[in-house]
Amino acid sequence: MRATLTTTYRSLLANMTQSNTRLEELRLQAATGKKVTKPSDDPSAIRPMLNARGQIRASDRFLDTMGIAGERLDVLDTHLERVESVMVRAKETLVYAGNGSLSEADLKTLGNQMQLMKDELLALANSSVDGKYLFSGFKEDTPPYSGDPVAYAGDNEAFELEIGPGEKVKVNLTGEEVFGDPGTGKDMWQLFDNMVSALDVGDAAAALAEMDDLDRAADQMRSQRSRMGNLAQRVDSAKLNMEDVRIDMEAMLSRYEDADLVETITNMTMQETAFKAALDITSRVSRLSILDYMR
Amino acid sequence: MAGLMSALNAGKTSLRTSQKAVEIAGNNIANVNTPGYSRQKAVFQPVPSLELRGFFIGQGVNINNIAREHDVFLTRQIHDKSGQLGEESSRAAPMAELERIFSVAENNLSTEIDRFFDSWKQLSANPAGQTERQIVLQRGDLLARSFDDAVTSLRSAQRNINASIESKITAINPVLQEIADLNLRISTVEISGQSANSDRDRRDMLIEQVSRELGATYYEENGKVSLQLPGGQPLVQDTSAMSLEPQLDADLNLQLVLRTGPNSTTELKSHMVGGEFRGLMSVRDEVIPERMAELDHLAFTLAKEVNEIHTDGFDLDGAGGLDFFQISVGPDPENGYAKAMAVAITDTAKVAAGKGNTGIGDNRNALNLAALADDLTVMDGNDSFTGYFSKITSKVGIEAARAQTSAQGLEDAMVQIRNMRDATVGVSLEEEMVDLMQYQKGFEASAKFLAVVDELMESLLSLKR
Repeated sequence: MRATLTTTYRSLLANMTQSNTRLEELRLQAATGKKVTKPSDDPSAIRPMLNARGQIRASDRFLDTMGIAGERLDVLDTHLERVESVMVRAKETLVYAGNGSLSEADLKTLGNQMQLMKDELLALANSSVDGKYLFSGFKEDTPPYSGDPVAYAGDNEAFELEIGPGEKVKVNLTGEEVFGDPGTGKDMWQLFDNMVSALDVGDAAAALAEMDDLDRAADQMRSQRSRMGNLAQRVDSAKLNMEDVRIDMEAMLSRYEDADLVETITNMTMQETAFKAALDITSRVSRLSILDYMR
Repeated sequence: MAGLMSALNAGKTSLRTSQKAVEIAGNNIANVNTPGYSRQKAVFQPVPSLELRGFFIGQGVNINNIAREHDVFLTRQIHDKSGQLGEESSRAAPMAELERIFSVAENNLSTEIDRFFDSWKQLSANPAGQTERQIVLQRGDLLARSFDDAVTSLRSAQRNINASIESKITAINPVLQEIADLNLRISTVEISGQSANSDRDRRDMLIEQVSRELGATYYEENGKVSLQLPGGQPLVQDTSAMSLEPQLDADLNLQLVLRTGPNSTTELKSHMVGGEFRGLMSVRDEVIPERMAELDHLAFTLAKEVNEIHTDGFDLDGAGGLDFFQISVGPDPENGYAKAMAVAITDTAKVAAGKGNTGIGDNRNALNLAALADDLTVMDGNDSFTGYFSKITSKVGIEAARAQTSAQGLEDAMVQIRNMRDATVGVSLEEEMVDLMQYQKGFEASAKFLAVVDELMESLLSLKR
């Protein structure tokens, strides 16, 4: 093929332009650290990238929610611990009342103590955190227990938090679950009322007859507490797991999105060499001409 | 003496043709950088011989034509390729704008969708919370605005395309007219047996421009070219040129109209033209409307699904949930919804977080709504909202990458073909210099020849003294 001035310069220009464009792309990659900055850079990477970002955001939310779940379970546990200690004291009082050597006046005093314990339990049952009653189910704005005889005003709904994709944990206990009838035909308040009134009239035997039911009420309360404890453990392990998922997602996003800096800079150096060569060749072209050989 | 006179004359023709040849080489050198210039070459021809006392002796030399080096095949290839190149490269600018709208950066529409559903997750952890309820409303509002922004940007991309089509129309009409004028000049010159070299060069350049912009095809007859659009409509016929005119349609989009006569016009759709016009029009009339329709579909389906669950729930006051997003009823409520999307409620108490009308702690509906984000069947039964959005974005990416690659490929091909053309018809300085030396030698020899003839005549004349 015949080479003319135009063809030579045109080819050189095309090479230099391409070389420079590629260099520019690599510089941009190195400067931003990203190999995908617009959809056309890698259309097939878009879905995994957006997906990974969404999952990272979701993980952050789940971790946040798990924090809330953990706090709620902790608060419940603290309250149930206090309920348990009252129940232990109630049982000690009942055992003491049954030793047969107490006078009617002594029993009456124990009755008064028992009444105070019931009041303490009632206060615990009606306790609220941040304006929300712990044991009312969904009726967080309603005190669960009031009236005489004490009646339950909450509901039996489970408050669940989502701590993972489709994974929900119950983080509340309703009044019925803790203070309700454990199958004895009476709830906690009826049980205490029975003991108080028996002790009030000095009927130690009648008071002592409630012992089994007191144990069953305490068992019910303890089993709920240990259920919550298990859940708290599950939340803890889910949290570790979610943190791992988040790291995996970050890695996945990075794999699709981030430029390998070493590779980019190596490529850039190579491209710079190519560009320099193109420049050098271009400057050489003009040095050789028939004009220089004519007189 | 008669023989010497004829030799003198022959020497004169030789001197003159050598000088002409030097001028032609000079003109080639002068045009070494003129785009589209085809090298010209003197065609020498001996002057017919005369019988001189029984011998036929030549009478010198003449330049009978200045020929233009030309390769019809390569010229046509350049014209064809420039139409394709025009089509692909004209997409670059609008596609870059689309890539910006459907961005892969942190803050895109898919992030807003994620954030909207995230706000429901946040609400589910504290269903009675005023702040959480407020955030849900705000996120809904921001999501609607993001859809609106995307549509507004797409419309502005269309307007930019309209502006560039309009300026192209203004530029192309004089070119068509000039081609028609050149048809007249070339046919007039060539009918008299001359070659209209530079006019042909100029016309080839103009045809290339029309090919690039409109993808025109052409044929030549009696020195006149006829240009047609890919759809067959004539652009230049004989010595008259049609003109393109802009016309606004109902959507305020600029349409192309071809004026074929004082009272007759043809509307040109994107498939009837080629080149840059087609590239621009297809982005405006096909790519962008398709993406807009997909945004409408996404926004509408999202609003519909959210409303369905929201109206299933109960608000803070225990009343049944209202529509969360405004959806107007009509024959085609989906059409234009991305722009019209808006949150329908303003009162935080009306956010339906609960599933029953039981109590303020009920978070079940908030959980249901949050779950929509991960539902892989909400979009036409086979995709999630963000999955559908990534599909739209991928389409934009694929389209943009395809246009870039194919424009680059065509650009490379164009360099090759132009080089091939210049290898045949372009000016090579080395070659011209050698020619120059050759003609110079010819000139010098003719001069010497004349001097010899002159001496001979001198000798002849001295005989008579």
